[in-house]
Amino acid sequence: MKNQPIFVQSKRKYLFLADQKGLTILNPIIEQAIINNDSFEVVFLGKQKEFLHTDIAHWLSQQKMGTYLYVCLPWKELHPIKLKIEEVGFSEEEYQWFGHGDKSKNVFCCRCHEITEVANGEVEINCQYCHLLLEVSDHYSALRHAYLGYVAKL
Amino acid sequence: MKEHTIPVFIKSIEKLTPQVKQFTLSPINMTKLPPFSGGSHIITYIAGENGFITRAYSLTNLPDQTDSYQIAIRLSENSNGGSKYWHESIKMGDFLKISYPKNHFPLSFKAKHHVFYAAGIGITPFLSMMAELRERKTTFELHYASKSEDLCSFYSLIKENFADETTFYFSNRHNKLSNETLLDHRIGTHVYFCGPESFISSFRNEAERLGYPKSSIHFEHFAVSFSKNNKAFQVKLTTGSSISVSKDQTLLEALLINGINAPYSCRVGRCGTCEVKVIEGEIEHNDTFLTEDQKNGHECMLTCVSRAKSEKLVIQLN
Amino acid sequence: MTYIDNLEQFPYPFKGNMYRYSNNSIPLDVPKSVDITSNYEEEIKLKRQLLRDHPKRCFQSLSHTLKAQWEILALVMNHLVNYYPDKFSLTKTNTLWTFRNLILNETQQFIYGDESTLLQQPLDFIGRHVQEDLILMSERDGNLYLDAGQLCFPANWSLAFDLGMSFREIHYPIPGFKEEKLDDRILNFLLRLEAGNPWGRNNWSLMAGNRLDTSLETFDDWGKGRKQVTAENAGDLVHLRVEVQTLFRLSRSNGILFTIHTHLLPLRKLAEKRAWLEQFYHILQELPPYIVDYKGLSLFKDVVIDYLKVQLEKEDAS
Ligand code: HEM
Ligand code: FES
Ligand SMILES: [Zn+2]
Repeated sequence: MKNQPIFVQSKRKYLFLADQKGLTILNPIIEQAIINNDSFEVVFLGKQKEFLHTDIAHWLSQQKMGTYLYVCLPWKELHPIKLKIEEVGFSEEEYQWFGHGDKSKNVFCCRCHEITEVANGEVEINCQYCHLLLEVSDHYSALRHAYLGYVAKL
Repeated sequence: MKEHTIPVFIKSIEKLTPQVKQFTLSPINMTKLPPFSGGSHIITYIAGENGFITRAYSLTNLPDQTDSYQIAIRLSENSNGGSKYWHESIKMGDFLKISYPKNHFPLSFKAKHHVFYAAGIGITPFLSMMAELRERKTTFELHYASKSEDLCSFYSLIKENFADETTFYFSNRHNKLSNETLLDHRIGTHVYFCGPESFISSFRNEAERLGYPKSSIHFEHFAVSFSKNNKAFQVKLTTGSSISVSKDQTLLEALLINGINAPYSCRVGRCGTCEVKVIEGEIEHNDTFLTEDQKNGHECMLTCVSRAKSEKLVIQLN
Repeated sequence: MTYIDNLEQFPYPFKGNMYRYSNNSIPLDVPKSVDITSNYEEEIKLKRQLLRDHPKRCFQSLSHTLKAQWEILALVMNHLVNYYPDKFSLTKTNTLWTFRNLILNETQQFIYGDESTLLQQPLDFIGRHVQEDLILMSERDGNLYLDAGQLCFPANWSLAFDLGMSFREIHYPIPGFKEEKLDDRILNFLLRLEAGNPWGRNNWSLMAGNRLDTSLETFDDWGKGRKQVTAENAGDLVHLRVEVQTLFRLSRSNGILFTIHTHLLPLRKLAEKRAWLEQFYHILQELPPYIVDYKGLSLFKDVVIDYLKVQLEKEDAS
């Protein structure tokens, strides 16, 4: 993930998927597409998100090779959408994603394998399940969508 | 050559088209040959007048068939030995050595759909790839260009097994394969090109122009092997000492003999442990470890296999 | 756990008086993925207990790996019967295989490729007959991923957490790996690993205690041993832990089998060999803090150095 959306040149079509706040963040890119006279589509993600997920998957799967996608949503909603996007067939090279708002972190307990959600920036936490004191690391598993929590004290 | 090889013999030879012969290779010692993954090739080693003739050929039989391998070779007009030798001198019962199967042209795992573009003998790697996708139950299509039906290798095999997935393009019927079909592929498609250089570059360029990411574009390129005619050279170390490397010696050997504590592990140019910095001089890179960019930079080299192109090198050990 | 009494059999891992992270892989002279030692029965019993009591900790697999798992089963079985014909046998009648473990007096019949004919997944089954931990790295879209593994004797890592991770991600915690681009280099090396040409390497660490099952999941328990090392008990409590690792390209699935055989040697035994004692003493003294720290030696390295020094002086005196 980049901090700032970057315009990727010479794609046959651009897609934008965002909520209200997300659209303002993506706006410079949308403007760039307009200036270049590139073809593009914007999908606004409002309140009824559950319903829209299947529609979004369908919309994405109808796209052709050469399409480029920008997504900007609240952090909490981003992960499930990313899984959808990749399941449809967009690769890392075919989309950029950005989050806004509160950010949390999942921590994988090295002892019991359960996941504890904590606020971003916490360094030591107790596992919610086995109560072991964990040191939050930046060792990340995409499959578990979590950071490894190591034994904090021997 | 340190690589392990498999001794085989020519079990049968079949003419597929006026220009293409198919060779069936069976194992001598082993009862079975290793199964392979779709897109694999082997290196064939044939003893010729000036050392071994080594060539890479795609395996065209089914991946799980292990009693014999098949390769298809087109006689090329400007052959400098390889295909000419295969077509004119190789007979049934001849012995040769082959490598274990290697795959430099593997199928994508994450692709949602696979599209193969073949021109002429470029069809060969796609046969095992399509067989593998059929087994994985993944969708694919084949676009196959040839001069005519007569000159189209594996025509009946493909019609029999992959009729629904295949479109043939015969130029004698003015049916030309164009790269416009690239416009139609859905997101998540991976494309594979195999054929003459001009064919590959035309399709690659168009795919990139349309915005296909590089990782969704695959094309065949075989590693080149080279014969050696080593020369002696001089090496100066940044610590001051000067060392001569004879033509029968590797740089690493010369360093070690001179009491220099040079790092190494594999000694075959594969692991990267023996890398040193190059301060001055041009390198003849013989390793399979450094990337093309690193090789062109002439700023590092692997002492176990690489040599000086210039007469003198200045290197720095860390 | 008992240790190898015969020092000559211990895979002493050091080559010089200094140790750094590098690609220390070498081609295997004998293409053998598994080794049977005198601890076989004891270790297999422990393995099976761990698998029974902690299945999730010791076995993990992604669903697409079954074919590669069968390939690993076939490879390991072939090695067992070829290298230990008096201990294992395998007969094949078409796809019906009969595997016999004569050490444990066990017989298993199954249909090759049909999971329903085995009680465990193929990798989990064959792992119960060898002392090695077995890891499958799949090659997917130009990268390697840990997609299945049976791991009973990890050196402080978690299979459950590492499942599905790429080679680079797995090695993320190692200091200096990324900065020195070692991860890229080793990955490059592994991607070029070829069938028929396996490689091996050793890894080492020091262990306060003699457990083989030093999982990350139980670190809060066994890690405490690090605080109990004294000059008096170091010889018996502290063990040199060596992992003999092999790397085999799987020709059919294009994955890589990574095997890990863990050996333990108490320092008291190590000290019996003057050359080892001297060299290891130098290595520990010279070892840079980032490696000391990562290997978990900070709490007891100094005590161990003192112990080794006393042993050296004792020998000098006598
Ligand atoms: C391909 C299969 C391999 C797997 C699955 C694997 C896995 C691992 C794991 C899980 C760790 C521990 C990381 C942690 O702290 O969480 C590790 C450490 C390490 N690996 Fe690998 N590895 C593989 C191959 C290699 C190779 C080929 C090399 C080098 C040539 C290598 C070099 C190292 C080193 C130097 C360490 C640190 C060990 C220490 O200081 O004790 N690995 N590996
Ligand atoms: S020693 Fe391995 S590349 Fe040179
Ligand atoms: Zn826990």
